Amino acid sequence: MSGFFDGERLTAARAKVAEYPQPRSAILPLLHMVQGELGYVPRDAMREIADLIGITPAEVLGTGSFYTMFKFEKMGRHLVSVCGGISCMLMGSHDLYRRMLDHFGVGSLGTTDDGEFSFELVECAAACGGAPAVQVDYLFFENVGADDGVELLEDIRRLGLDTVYAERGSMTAPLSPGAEEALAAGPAPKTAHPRAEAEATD
Amino acid sequence: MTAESVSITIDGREVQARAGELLIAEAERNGVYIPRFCWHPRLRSVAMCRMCLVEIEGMRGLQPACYVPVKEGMEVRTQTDAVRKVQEGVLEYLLINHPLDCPVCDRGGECPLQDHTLAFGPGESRFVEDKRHFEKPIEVSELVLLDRERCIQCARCTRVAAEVAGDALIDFGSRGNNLHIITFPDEPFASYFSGNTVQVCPVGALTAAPYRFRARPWDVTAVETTCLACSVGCRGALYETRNEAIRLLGVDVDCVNLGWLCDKGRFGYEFTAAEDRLECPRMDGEDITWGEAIEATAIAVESAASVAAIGGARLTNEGAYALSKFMRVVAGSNDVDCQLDDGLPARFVAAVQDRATFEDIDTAAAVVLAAPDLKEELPVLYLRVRRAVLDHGTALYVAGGAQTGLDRFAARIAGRLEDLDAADLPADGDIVVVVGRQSLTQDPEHLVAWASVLAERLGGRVKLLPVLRRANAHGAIDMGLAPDLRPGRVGTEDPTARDVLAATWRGEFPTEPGRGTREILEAAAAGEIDVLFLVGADPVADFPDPDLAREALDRTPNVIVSDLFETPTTAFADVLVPAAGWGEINGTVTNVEGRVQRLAAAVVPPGQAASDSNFFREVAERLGVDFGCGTPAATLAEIRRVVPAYAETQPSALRGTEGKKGVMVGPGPLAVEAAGVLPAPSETRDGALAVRAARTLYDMGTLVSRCPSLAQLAPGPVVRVNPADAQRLGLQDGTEAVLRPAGDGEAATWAEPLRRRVVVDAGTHEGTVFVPLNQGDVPVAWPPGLEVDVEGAG
Ligand code: SF4
Ligand code: SF4
Ligand code: FES
Ligand code: FES
Repeated sequence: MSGFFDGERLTAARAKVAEYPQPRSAILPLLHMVQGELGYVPRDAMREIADLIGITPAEVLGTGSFYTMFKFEKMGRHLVSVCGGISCMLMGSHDLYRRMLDHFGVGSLGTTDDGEFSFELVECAAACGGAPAVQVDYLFFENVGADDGVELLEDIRRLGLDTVYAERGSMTAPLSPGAEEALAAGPAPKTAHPRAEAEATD
Repeated sequence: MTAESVSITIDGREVQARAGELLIAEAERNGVYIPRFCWHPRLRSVAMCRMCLVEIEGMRGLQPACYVPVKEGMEVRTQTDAVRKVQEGVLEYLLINHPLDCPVCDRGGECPLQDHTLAFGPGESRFVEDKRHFEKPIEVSELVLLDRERCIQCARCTRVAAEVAGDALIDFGSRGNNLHIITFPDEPFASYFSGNTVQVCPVGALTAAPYRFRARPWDVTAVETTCLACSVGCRGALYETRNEAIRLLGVDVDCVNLGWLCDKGRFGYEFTAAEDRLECPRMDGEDITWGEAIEATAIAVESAASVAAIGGARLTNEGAYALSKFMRVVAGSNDVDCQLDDGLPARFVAAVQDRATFEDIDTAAAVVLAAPDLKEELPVLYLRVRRAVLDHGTALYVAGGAQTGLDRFAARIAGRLEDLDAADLPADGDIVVVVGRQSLTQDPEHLVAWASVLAERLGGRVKLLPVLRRANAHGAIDMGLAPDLRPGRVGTEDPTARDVLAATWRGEFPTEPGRGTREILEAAAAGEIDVLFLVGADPVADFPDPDLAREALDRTPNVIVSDLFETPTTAFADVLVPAAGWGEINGTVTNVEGRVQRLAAAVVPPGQAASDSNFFREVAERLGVDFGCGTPAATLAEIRRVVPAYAETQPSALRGTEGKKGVMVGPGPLAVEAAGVLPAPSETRDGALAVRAARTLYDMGTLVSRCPSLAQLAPGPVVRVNPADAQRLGLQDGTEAVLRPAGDGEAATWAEPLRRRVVVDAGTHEGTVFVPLNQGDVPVAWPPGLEVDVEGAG
């Protein structure tokens, strides 16, 4: 069984490591490479990263797990991040989160049996004005009332994230140059979603 | 290295400090204790915990004393309201999530967090919410347990693992409130130095599995002693409760162990409580009294034409001296050897004039390792070499085929000794050459010939460090437990030394060199030895030719064995006496540098077990010899009289703060004779592999197999193979390999081939297989130069 880093990926990874005076600076870029393609970082890939850099897998996991957006378990097709920050909490996001979990019969940080959704409660998602905020694959949905969450996700399951996002999604952060056009052109292509290729690869 | 002195003011008092050193350390040297959690004198500062914040005039805000070096004129305040407020704040913050389960915590009663809270804490908690909970404890390794909720996130453990041991197998996972120590899943913290993390943890988050829940700090007593699990001689404090040894902690001595212990040393006390200790003398398998054992031995010696003794390396200097004296004065024989043909020629060890110390390694320009894998055989010495190479930029040279754990930092790796010559080494600076037997198949004469030629070519810049692994082997050689030596690193032929000895020993003693272990066993196998003493020696398991050992013991009419346990050898004993061992006897030992240190008893030996000195004295007295050596102190006094190199070993010099350094033994009159030319290298047969037959830290040896915590860590019957060789031979990890002596003729004939499980290991050098000894399978012969053919078993 060949690992994640072979062929072109291996070349790219070696080049990445060589970019830095301290090889261990390449931990995060290499984790990004893996997660960008697989949607999460499997254990074996962490071992490979450790070998490429000359450190231990524990150091790779230690550094990676500092960042909550790196995932080390296989995720569902969509990652649902409910904001648990103060504004959203006051506006009922805990309740929203609980109802979603109950509806899909999973625990916090769990994944539905059909592999459709994984859930997490996150710190302030920087959309306080639209509290309670929910992100699905890091795309924003705002003012999601406690009663609305389940319906939102069922719609996504039925119609697809792109469609639902085009209808109901929001963009709260100031747009970067060129983003306006991109938005007008419709939802970002599939590869832009970190999790989108997971199925293709698995 | 005398640091420049500067004046600083601490809390209004002017004191002298060493320029450039950390404020926290200099304050402490001047009697001002600044509280701390993350700072540890043997680790790099990280200034993470903020417990050590102080005010420094002219610097904005509070400053971490563990990160700021002192400067001339610095004005420091450690007791102001602002400082106290921060200390209370830090403690209150740390206690938010701390479970305060002190009554069931191993650290309770000796816990820096408890002590600091009492001295600097707020006294009351305002936190009424739920504390965080974790599943507990987590086994981060077989030896270390982790209660994550007690962790105060100081990173001492992770720094010990990464910085000191080079085994970064634990790290912080997650962040903030969730930060906790992790291992990689399925990769336990399998470091030979893992116990050090328990010792430096300032709370009870890390506990040692063998000690957990065994005692409370107020129910134990401690003695300062020396570890004898190898010849590094680390300083330690041995704790006992209700006459049971329960832990060994490292004692920080600059020149020896810097406070560290390896896990074999740290948990090696377990054998003292083993169920199967020998407790009663035996004759032909039947229990007898000590009186009967002494009588039988005396009668055997009295009527013997030929008496020989093997062993003595586990004895104290006093015990080894008593054996040495007994053999010379009472038995009239120089047939004594504390080695089992598994070390170096004793004469070479004794003749090295300018022996390197551990501290010489710190300042050397280069270190040459022509030695066994230090990590496996002399672990804490490995830590010092590692520090020199990584932190001081010492150049590392490796010669002779043993892997070192430091190979990837080596300036040069020479597979054969001959491939490294003086010209390859740096032209300036001191060079330390560590010389030790790398494999039972290595010809020791060849090794020392190479080392002496190298030393001669390097001249005054070189210091040799001959290393023998066994406990007090160096002390035993100093006490004359070698066929051509007498006490004091003196040749048996030396007339001056003989006169000095004669004044004390009286009686006659032989001047011709005697026979070493191999010759003794050969003579015994030919029926020429009447009495053979085996003192803590197990030739059937440890001598490189087990068939010869068995044959020899079988043919010898009186085999007298002193040991702690039954061994494959004790089955041949006519008289078997139970010995008291480490932790049970007082005395001195001499480490690999030639440093004499104190050994202290913490527990009473089991049953009737008694010290070997007593046994030899009693037999001597029974034979009408006024032997002396009634107590360890009396024996040491006699040693001081007859061994000039030990003249400074008064009890007072070995006690107290100064005594922690021990006393360095001076050189003897012998000198290393250089062979002149480098010996010719040997050629490997086509396709055959060289064998490195050597020890691993954990094995099924007599003591480790009686330490339940350590025995489980032995690698078992494996053979380590370089990936390239494995591929060529079609060997896969985990499959069985069959090893047979290559070629024919002089090579060993094994009755059966050796079957071992393959471990493919990039650390093993190509062209060599590594066979760890003493792994519970039947021992085979390891003649010098042996090569093997290896093939898969199926
Ligand atoms: S386990 Fe102990 S040594 Fe390690 S970080 Fe936590 S408190 Fe510090
Ligand atoms: S290195 Fe040797 S002396 Fe030191 S603790 Fe380990 S076994 Fe004991
Ligand atoms: S608190 Fe939810 S977006 Fe800020
Ligand atoms: S001891 Fe200085 S910050 Fe921890």
